[in-house]
Amino acid sequence: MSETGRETIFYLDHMVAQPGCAQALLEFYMSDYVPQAKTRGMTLVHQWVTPPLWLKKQSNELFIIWSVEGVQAWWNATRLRRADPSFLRFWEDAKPMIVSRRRLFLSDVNDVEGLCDV
Amino acid sequence: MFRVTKVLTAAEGADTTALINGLSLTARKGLNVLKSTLEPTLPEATTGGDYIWQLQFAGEWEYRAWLDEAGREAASILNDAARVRHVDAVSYKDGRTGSKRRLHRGVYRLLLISVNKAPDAASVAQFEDETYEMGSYIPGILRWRISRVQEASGARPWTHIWEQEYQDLDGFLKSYMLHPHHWAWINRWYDPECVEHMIDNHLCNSFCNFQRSVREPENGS
Repeated sequence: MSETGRETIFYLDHMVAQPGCAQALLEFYMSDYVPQAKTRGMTLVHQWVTPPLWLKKQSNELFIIWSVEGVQAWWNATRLRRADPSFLRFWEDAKPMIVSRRRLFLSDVNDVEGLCDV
Repeated sequence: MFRVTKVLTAAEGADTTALINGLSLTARKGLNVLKSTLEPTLPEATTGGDYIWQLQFAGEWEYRAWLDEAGREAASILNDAARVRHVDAVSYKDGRTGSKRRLHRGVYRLLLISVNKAPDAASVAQFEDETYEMGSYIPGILRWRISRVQEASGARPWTHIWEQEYQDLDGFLKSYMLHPHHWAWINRWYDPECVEHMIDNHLCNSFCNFQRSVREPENGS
């Protein structure tokens, strides 16, 4: 549980990779997306994969977790991302390696009450 | 109820008193106009012009009748580049409306939206439902309405108008902007990096103070 007003906000990029492409997709994400996002105030927290081996003929799923401290920091990062076309270019370039993806915003369940008390 | 909302940006050096009086006169001349409000926008209206002009009619027929009479004068004023630099305008029937309590004064906020990348009608309906639900979840929103636009002009082919009323500006700046129903949920329709994204990045976001609820017809009272 975080301090009220400074709750940690998490981003989850969930990507289902094309069969055999997960490792290349992750490398591309790390080299192209991550440096840009870090300059926008986002902190890379986890890079998870399931199953934990690189499948050759089937799809791995990647879970990339980011965080920012507080909702204001979330808005700051969002405004900076939207003003920078390189983020969209990344997703466009990565598209051939992705079956499906989703971005979700999360918090610790213990922070829900504080986040909604506005 | 049928409504017209126009967000005006005055021309550089224009006589704004004459502009307001001229437009208000076209509303007073229209027998079918139930209510007209023309309020200066608040400084927080970053993409929201200098004035918000709103007209209410009993129905679309009454609106069309006004357009053919005093509405022509209004159009002439609004099309005069020496007086008005830009107008974003929408006309619409009332969409889904919610209310927690009546407000006699407060802050009115509108957002003109162009849903131009929707994959299907179901996504648009879901967006409308979720936008309406913001009023239920976010304490600062006291009255609200999401409407589909019938006619639009201005910077984008606006498809929706999302209207809210707050007790004060903090209701918007704090409650609305900081609530997770906004940034962690609804925002995915607006965020180009989310796969659900379907709304044009350019929005018309405007605010004004009001003395009586702009969503309530006066009906001559």
